[in-house]
Amino acid sequence: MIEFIPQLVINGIVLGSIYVLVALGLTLIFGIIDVVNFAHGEFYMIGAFVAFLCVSHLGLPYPLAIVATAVIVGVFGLITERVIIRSLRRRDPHPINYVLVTVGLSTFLLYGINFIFGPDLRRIPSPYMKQVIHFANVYLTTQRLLVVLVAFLLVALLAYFVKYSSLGNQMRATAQNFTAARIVGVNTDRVFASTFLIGSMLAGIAGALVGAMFVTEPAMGIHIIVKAFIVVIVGGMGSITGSIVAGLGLGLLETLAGAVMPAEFLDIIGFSIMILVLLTKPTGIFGTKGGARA
Amino acid sequence: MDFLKISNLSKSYGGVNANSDISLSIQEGEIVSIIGPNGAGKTTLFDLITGVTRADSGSVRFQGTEMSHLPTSDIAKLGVVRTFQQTKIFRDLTVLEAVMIGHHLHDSTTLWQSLLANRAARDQKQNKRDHALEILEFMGMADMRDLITQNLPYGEQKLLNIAIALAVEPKLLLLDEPAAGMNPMESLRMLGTIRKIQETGITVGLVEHNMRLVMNISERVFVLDYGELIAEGKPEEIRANHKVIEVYLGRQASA
Amino acid sequence: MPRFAPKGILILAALAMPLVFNEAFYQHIMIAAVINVILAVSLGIIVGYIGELSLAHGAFYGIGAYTSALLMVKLGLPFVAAFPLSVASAGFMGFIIGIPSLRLSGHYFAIATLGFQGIVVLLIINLVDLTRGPMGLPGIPSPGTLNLFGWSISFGDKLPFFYLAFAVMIVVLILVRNLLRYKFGEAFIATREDSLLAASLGVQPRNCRMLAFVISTALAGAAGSLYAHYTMFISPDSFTLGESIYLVTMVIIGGRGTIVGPLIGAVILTGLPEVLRFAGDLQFVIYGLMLMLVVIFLPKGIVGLVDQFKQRGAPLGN
Repeated sequence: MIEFIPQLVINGIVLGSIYVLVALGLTLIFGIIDVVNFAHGEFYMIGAFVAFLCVSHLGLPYPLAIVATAVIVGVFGLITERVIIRSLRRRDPHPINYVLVTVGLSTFLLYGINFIFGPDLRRIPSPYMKQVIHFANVYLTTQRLLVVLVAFLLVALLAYFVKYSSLGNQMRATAQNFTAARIVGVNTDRVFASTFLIGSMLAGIAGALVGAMFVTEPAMGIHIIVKAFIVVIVGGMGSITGSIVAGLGLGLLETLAGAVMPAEFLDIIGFSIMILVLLTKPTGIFGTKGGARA
Repeated sequence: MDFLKISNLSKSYGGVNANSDISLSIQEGEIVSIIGPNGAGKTTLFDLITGVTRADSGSVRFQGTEMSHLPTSDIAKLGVVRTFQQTKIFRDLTVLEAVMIGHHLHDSTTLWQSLLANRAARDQKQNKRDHALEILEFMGMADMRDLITQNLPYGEQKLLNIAIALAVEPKLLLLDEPAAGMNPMESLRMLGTIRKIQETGITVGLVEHNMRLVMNISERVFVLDYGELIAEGKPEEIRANHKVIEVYLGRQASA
Repeated sequence: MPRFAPKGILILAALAMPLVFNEAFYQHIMIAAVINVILAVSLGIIVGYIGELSLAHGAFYGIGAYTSALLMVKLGLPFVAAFPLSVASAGFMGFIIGIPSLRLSGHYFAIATLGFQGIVVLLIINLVDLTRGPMGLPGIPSPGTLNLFGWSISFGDKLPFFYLAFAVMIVVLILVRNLLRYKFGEAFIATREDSLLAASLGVQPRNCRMLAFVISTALAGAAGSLYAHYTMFISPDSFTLGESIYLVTMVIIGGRGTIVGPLIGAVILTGLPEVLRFAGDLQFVIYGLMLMLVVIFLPKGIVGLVDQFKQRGAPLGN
């Protein structure tokens, strides 16, 4: 049994990296715009389909397809913010309304893609699935390595961007205090649009990676969004560090515990941890936003 | 016994002393005002009295009962009711319906009676209606009873806030800036209304910036600055008090 | 009695419909609509009157269904006992889940209910010895037969079941209307609008929220019991997050903050899938779109739209 642990740990890190990528977008959108984007899983799913189309129908090489996906899904997120979220913001910006509207969007996208492509399982053909690395009892396709590397790179880029760039500073200011940020001249509309752009991009890239590693199907969004919520709540809404820690943590927990217990129990544990955090420290381990209490 | 006795009440928010060691008493039947520059801690004091926030230390006794760790709804049950500065409450209801909600504590309908919609429930509701109409008459708002609250002009919304608070049948009514944003004519009307309220036996405490109103109506005035009580006394005394003058000349004065 | 006339006519029309359209197919839709009305109206208490979004209504629906089914199948209880017990069990579970959840609000509350919805379904799937898990529970008996004046009415038949369900629905509607018309309805609205202000008037927001939540979940349990003894086979698939979202959509599209709104939403969203059946998955695309459009442009739903043409609607049932 012990000899499997390194393999499980590596698998856990891979899975965790996916969770981190998806959760990051969700936590940014929540932290900065105060919107819970229930359709975030669908951006991930669309990312997988876009990459799939790029490779199988347009014949693009896989790495290029990932870049194309990032751009397309990012624009998609931008449009969502501009058209849907902004309309709501101008009219009736109650937190529940954002949940409702994004639930509607999620339904729209999920069944839309299902209608167009059908529910069949597909997989993005990726050259990296064919190469396997082997060291110390661990087997790893280069695709999995790619997942971890891309996640690491994007997280580093995001952290750098948020800390040092002008827009990043504006995003942090808006997250801390919306009104104060506006007073000092931050263009909050632009901040919101950029946040959705970045968040969706990250989700789309994650989808493109997973779509080659596991499967591409319309339902993949629903499976991931629940995990993303758990990560974001536990790690702290709005906290990048929190998403990283909780995302990797969940990935490792699921992989290691999944070796000894059935998957459904894992899910129950995941939900329970999330609820526990909501009740004790709703801002999560690393979060600082308030406003949860009734 | 003091009607309302506040002793050594303190509250700080992360190093800022919103209220420092405040002690004051209000006697039954009085009208008192609490004044001070912006940020002096006046609304915080109201929040502490009514249980909206919990004090760091000190006590608030109303008719002998210690209130400092009671929840707001219990404090209302004891007879201490406040208004809030914000308007646009109960947006979709009519004025009458909004005032009826204020009478909640005196509605003895039980769940069963409500579900069965029996005579008891209907009688209680009719009572509430009648009582609400009385209050609207008292406030001079009877003709507005079927208007939707969010369509009311600003001055009337402030009056509505008070009407709703009156429906609770308070013993002590705390008004948070009732004359804010009003023109002289509206302020005069507010002054008359507050006096009428006192005449029904309700003790009134005001937080106000409108000095003319304060000086005209208060029997006693308390002055807060940077969270401390710096002066108390009759309006003429306060007007001549050097410390108070300094506080107001040195900062932005209003009215 | 002119005031009762419009409602009376509607009720008579509704009662006559399964006789007029007496194919099993149509009667099935009507029964489904009645059950959905109970579900939507009960959810409407939370969404419209407390102002929170519960994504767990499907789970409480399921708790009612499974409780009722198991009580009759395993313990042999008659329907008249199983029904109230499943109402009670769903209400009780609402109380248990409400204790932690109602301390939250806004999106945190919604996410907590999302978590509980997930847990309940997973438990139903995993407690296979009790519920037969994903295979579902077959052989649930119908409410039985009634012998009246020499006639034997079997509630296993669609027409009598419709009237049974309809009667339950009417009782539910009356109870909900009464609840909201008197003291508690006002307290709910006050809590929804501004819980601090409500507290300053002597309302106890926490108790209000719990009362509303428990009543809402109990009624969902009633719907679940009806459903179980109608379809005589239940599986976890009927009580998932998808179902919760479907119910939320009914409330929002019909119009939150009223009793009539969820009713209209339930009727429309039960009937529409039949009309749009040919479109396959496209109909869900349409529902998603409708939800978005209604939330942005028609915050009061269809009821709000109708109101713009006549007098203000009646949030307090006045």
